[in-house]
Amino acid sequence: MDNGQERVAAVYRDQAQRMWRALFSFAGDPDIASDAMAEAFARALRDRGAIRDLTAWTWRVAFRIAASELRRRHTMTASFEDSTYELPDPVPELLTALRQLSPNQRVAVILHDYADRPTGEVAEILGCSRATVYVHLSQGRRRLLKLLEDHDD
Amino acid sequence: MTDAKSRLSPLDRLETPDVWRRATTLDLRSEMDEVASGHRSSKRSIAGIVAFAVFIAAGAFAWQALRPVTRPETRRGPIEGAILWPERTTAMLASVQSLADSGDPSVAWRLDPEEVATRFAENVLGWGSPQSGYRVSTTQEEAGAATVVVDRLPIHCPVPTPGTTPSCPPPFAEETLTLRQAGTLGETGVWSVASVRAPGLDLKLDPGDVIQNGDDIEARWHLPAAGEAVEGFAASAGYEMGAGYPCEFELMNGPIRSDGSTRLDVSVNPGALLGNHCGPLPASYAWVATSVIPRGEGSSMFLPVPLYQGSSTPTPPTSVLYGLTVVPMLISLPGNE
Repeated sequence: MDNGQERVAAVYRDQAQRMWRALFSFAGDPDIASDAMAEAFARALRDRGAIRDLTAWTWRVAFRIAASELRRRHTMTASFEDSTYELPDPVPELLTALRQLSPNQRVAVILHDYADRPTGEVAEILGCSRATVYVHLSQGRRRLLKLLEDHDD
Repeated sequence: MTDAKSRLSPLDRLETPDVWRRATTLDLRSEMDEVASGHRSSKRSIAGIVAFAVFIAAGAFAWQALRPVTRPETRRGPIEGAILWPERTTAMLASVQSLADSGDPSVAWRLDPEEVATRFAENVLGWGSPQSGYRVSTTQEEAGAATVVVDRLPIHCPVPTPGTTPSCPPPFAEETLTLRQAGTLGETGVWSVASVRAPGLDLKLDPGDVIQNGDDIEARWHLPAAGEAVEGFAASAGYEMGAGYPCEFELMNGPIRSDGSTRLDVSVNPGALLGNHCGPLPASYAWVATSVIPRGEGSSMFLPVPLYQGSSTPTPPTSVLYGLTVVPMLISLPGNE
C-alpha cells in the first residue's frame, strides 16, 4: 500500500462507521449507504493525488452519491421498514422523525449535529451558503425535537 | 444544539458494515465523475449493465477478433471543470482526440502522460527541457488516471565567502500532476493535466468544485526558506474564469513576498458577461504560484495556465514559475447565456 492509499485507508478507519450511520440516517436504506460509501472511497483511492482534504471530500462525494441515488428513485428517503436490517431502539423512531424533515434540513442536522461536520462542509454538500445551512439547522433541530417529543408523549 | 445532538446519539448503536474491500475493488471506469454533475446511474443498474455487457462480450469475442479496427472505450462524465491543460472544454478535447485518432504526429505526445507532464513543465512552468535539470516520473497509473511527479535535481548553491551575501538560485517546488484520459480510454486516448499541486502552495478547492458567484476561494502559501535570499521571490494567487475570449475574467492577488494567505473573491457581474456565451457554468481554474518578480515591475508577471487550442505548438511562458498549484473548477453564473 503506497502513501496515498494509506492516507485513504486512515480516513476510512477514522470516518467509516460514522459516515455509514449518517448516510443510512439520511437515505433510510442500508444498501444506498453501503454503495455510496464504497464508491466514495473507491473514487478517493483513484483520485487521491488530486484531493486536498480527503475527509471532507469523501463525506461530500458519499452524500452526493446517496442523494443522486434517491433522486433516481424519485424519492428523498427510502423506507427502512422494508429492510431486514435490524435497528436497535430508539433508532426506528429517530429515523421516522428524521424522514419527516425536508431533505436539506435532514442533511444539515445529520452532518452537523450527529457527524460533527463543520457548517462550511455542509454548505458545500448542499450547494448553498453557510448562512442558509444555519437556517436549515435551526428549523431542522426544532422540528426534530418536536417530533421526538410528540412521540415520547 | 446539545439537545438535538444527544437525541441523535442512539445512531451510534447501529451496526456498520465494512465496505473497504469493495472500495478497493470497485471498477469506476464506466461511471466516471458523474458525481459532480449529480447524474449517476445506480450501482444495481450498472451491475446489470456490466453483467449484460459481459454476456454480449463473450458472444461477440470471435467477431471482435476478426474486426480490423477495435472501437476504443470512451469515458462518460463532465469534462469542463475537470481538466485544465492543454484544453479545458469538451469541444477542444474532441478536436485533439480526432487528430490523434487520425494519426496526426503533431499530437502524438498527448498519448503518453509523462510526455504531457514534460510539456507542462516546459510550457507552463517554464522549466525548459528535462535535460536542464528535472526528472519526470509516474508514481501511479490506472484506468485512465495517472499521477506524475516532476522534481528538480539538487541545485548547487555557492558557499558564501565571509562578508558576502549568499547567492542561491530560486528554489523549485516538486510538482505533483494528476493526469486523466477525459475522453477516450486506453492506448489511443489523449491525456490531459487535471490538477497540479506543489508543497506549501495550497488552494481550498478540489477539481470539479462548483464555486457560486459571490463566494471566495482560500489560497495559502509558505515560501521556502531558500526563497528569502532571492531578490523578488514572491507568491501570487488568482483565478481565471472561462476558456478563452470572449468569455474571460480573471483576478490576481499579489505578489506577496512573505508567507501568507488570501481570499480570491469570485465576484463576477453576470450582466457584463451576457452575450459572451460563457454559459451558466464556465470552466475555470484557480491557482497559487511562486516566481521571481523584480520590484517595480508591477504585479502582472504571473501567467495563468495558457490554453493550447489545436495543433500548434504551445508557446513557452515568458517567466518561470518555481512552484504552482492549480485546480480546475466551475463558476456558477445562474441565468447567464
